[in-house]
Amino acid sequence: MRARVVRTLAALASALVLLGASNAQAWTIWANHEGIKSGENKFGPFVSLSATLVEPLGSGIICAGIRGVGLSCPNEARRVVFEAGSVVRSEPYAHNHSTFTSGFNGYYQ
Amino acid sequence: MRTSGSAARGRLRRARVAVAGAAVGGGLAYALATQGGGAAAAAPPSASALYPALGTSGPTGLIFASAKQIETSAPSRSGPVWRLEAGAYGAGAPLPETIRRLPGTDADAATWIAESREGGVCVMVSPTRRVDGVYPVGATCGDGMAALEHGIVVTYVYPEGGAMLLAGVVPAGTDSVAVALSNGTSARAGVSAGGWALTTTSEPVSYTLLPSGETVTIGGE
Repeated sequence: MRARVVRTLAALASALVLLGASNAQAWTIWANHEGIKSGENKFGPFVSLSATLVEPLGSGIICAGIRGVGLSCPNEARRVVFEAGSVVRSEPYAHNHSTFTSGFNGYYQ
Repeated sequence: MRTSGSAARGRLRRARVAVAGAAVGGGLAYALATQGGGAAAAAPPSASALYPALGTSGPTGLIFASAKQIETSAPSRSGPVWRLEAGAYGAGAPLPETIRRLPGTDADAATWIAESREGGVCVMVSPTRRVDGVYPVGATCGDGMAALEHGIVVTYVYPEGGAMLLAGVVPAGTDSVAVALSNGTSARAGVSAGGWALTTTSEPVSYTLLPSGETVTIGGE
């Protein structure tokens, strides 16, 4: 009985790890600990993509966007998702909406 | 984000009153803790207590699609899309099953409220017209008491520049929001079911919750 519970838990843990890995693999990082000046745009590669997200690394407000589709900004330093909902050929980009230089990670899929 | 101190305390008091009121019908643990004499430390109010719209139901107007469907069928050519896979956006993103449509307060913006995996509150916005053939969605979430008490705002900026959509969610008891803009003017948006939206051509500098008068600064330090 105990062995069966252990096997079940092990299988569940493996499934969770794989699930996490598959989600992680879905996002491609295009900006890794990048700095961005106040008011600046930083563009990623020209690719096929359907969504972008940015994670701020400091207290700056960093916006996430896709060139030609738009841009979304939070009202403070928070993660923000920009979902196009269809595949477009364009560039992911970030914009620093703060009054100072700050850092971020940028992803697309 | 900065807020005025006395107004913030007033906001907290009002928020707790609102939560206690909501708990009469909802049986919230927070109210149970505070009604027992007040000596024990009260649990912080939950997102669903401060944002009753999270407890509503009805069509969201979103197309929930898998990554495969997004890749193969371009669903956002018909309407705004959100991924249905749990964890598709990682931590700090709206959970698909908690997304609720908010009544429109701006004809150009569709808005939603949701909970995050961390128990925070999220706001989502999409333009009501196609942009480059799709209906894009912007979303952000805030966790912790400060975010819950001050609300969350997300901005959608059109690619052609100029116009932008502001959309926010605010805690129960807020009737309207006054937004100070970078051109020195201000705009006011009515709150409906805890949500508000407006279209502007000038960047937001701060917003004030009314009637509490609490002002939240946008744009960092």
